[in-house]
Amino acid sequence: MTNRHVLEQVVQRARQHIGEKRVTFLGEISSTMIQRFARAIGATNPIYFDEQHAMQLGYRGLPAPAVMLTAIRVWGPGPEESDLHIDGTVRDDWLNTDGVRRMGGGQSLEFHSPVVAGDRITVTRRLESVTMKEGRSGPLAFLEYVDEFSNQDDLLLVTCRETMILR
Amino acid sequence: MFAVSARGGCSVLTAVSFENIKVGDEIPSITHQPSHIQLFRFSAITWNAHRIHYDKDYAREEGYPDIIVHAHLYGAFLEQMLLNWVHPYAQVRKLQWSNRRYATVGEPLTCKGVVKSCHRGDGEEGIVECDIWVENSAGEACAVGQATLVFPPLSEEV
Repeated sequence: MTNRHVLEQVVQRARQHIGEKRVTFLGEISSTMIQRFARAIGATNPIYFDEQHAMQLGYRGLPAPAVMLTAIRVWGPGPEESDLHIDGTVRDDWLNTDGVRRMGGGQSLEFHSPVVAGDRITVTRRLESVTMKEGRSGPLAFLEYVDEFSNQDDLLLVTCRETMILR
Repeated sequence: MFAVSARGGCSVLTAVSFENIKVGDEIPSITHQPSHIQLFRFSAITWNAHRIHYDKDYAREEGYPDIIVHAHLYGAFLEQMLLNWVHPYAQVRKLQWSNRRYATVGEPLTCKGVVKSCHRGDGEEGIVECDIWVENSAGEACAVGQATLVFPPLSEEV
């Protein structure tokens, strides 16, 4: 059980970041990444495996499943193992959540344009709100982020509102 | 991609179009039974080192009976259910889900959905809004959400 005091301190720190924007270059999407992701989710649609077929349907190139960008937890190499949380998750250099458990609360996605192989992705992240509620087994904090993903041509691809639950 | 409909006793194959979708229609369901291999490959490709998805001893420390399915995999399954139904005739414009219950490795998970509204947008595009969810074999919801599908205006239909 998380100490209420620790959670309240995390919430207090988080509130100081509400409204801040952080722009990060994530990397380039490769066809291998798309096809491995499609395999991993059990997708069988040929658009992920046959670029010509996809382009005949009007895609700019080989498309990725629309949920892929926001499912990737770490872009690039990520931190050294010794810099991860004990549960294997990545420390957020923006927001220190040490001492509390983190759970994904779900995502709300808007797809503006399909992501295709070769896209170079930048994300703009904003912390929109921080709220605390009493759950059945103790206090919970809800952090709502808004991420906007775009490519090298400033084409907006995906907007993601994501709630992180801390307990 | 194609839906089989019965007319006067004989089955005909029809492309899914905005005109033949109505409120209350059920989206053809899909069932996945995520294996250890599937969870491993999903962790790998998303570079997700969270131990609850591959380390059973650690998952138990957090109170789970076994390793658990990634919530993002729920989203991926839901997107594929929608595409199986309408692709390439419509695009998924919005997809939202909330995680309600964890699922452990090997549990059968069924994605379902039902049409809540159909209307034409300002550009005459066909907009279909659906409730969607993922349920376990006991019929309990693991994730619940909504999706918006957009069909092109009549003049531009595929």
